[in-house]
Amino acid sequence: MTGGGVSDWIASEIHRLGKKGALVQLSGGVDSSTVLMLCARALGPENVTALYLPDTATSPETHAFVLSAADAAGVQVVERSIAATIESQQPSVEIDELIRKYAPEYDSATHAYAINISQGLTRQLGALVYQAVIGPRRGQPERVLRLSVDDLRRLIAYQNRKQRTRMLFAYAEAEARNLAVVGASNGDELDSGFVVKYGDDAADICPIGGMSKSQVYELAEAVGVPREIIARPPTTDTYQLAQTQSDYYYALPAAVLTELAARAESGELDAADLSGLAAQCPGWSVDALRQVGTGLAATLRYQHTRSLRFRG
Amino acid sequence: MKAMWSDVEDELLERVFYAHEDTVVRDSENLAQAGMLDSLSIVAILDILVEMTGNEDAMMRAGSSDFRSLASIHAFYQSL
Repeated sequence: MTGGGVSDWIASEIHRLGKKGALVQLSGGVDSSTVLMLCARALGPENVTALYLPDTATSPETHAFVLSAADAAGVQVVERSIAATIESQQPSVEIDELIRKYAPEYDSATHAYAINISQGLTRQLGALVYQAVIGPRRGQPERVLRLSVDDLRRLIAYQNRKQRTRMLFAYAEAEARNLAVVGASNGDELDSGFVVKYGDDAADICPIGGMSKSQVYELAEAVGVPREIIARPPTTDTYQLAQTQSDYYYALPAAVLTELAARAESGELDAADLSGLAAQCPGWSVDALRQVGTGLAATLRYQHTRSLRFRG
Repeated sequence: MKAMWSDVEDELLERVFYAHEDTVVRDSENLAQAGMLDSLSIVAILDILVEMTGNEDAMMRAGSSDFRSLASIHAFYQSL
């Protein structure tokens, strides 16, 4: 994979939209860095803007990765903090108070929280069983909190504000410059619902939206994404607490998730023989995988439902 | 002391399936497929089962098929 075809596609779609160029929001990860390199190649670096939108939870190293990607692409970076916007939507003190209901000693000056999945229960039930964890800021989780479902919903909604705020900033900056918003969600994320509706899934075009994560890595190498970004372990960079990949979503291989979602969407899930998939997923039963497929279909149904219109 | 199933069912209908008609929930053979059960609903069901049995182990004993329908939740509850 050399990126030639996708670069041509980007140039053609941006032209079709009547835009001067592209705006790519950089997270410091391999997906957005690859998209930036593709856009620079397709449109010329002078017609591409990289947008960096840190908030209070963004790790300090992210900034260095963002600059490294922009430098490699020869693209200008615009930095806008979204911290004040997030704070104006919902004061963080409300979140602190919510967590202190369960951990009175919690102090956001020294502590941080994250929403993880309970790995054991998720595997056992085939459903995402969320739990809140707390620990020292920038450290490892030390304690699991048993939040009520309503409080979990509030925390998840608070976190989703960040992706949606980034989308608002991206469109505002893009419109001001007559640029198209070029998204960086990959096919694995979009096909398994691992995105925030009207958040990181929102863009005018999505060049890697039909590629698996492994294809994105291959492309990243081909288009010259800096080595340190390719080598960086994937992260949501959402919390000020350490997370591993097995802490979020189903912690299943992306190919398994997309296959389960596809089978569920085509109505084949109940009759499908999933023993081959279960063999690839230690600790998972066929029944639990079937349940995952049903859950993914429900998630995707919700995500794909947009401004549904009654036509009479 | 373990609560009566009818009380558990009332709690489930009120706190988890409040957006749906009781009869539709009772009649469904696959709550998730019918769009009545998301991940947080499962957390809520587990909370209710722990609360109504006073048995924290309820969570650890649940399996993927135990939340397929109200009847399967009932059967699981009886087994606790």
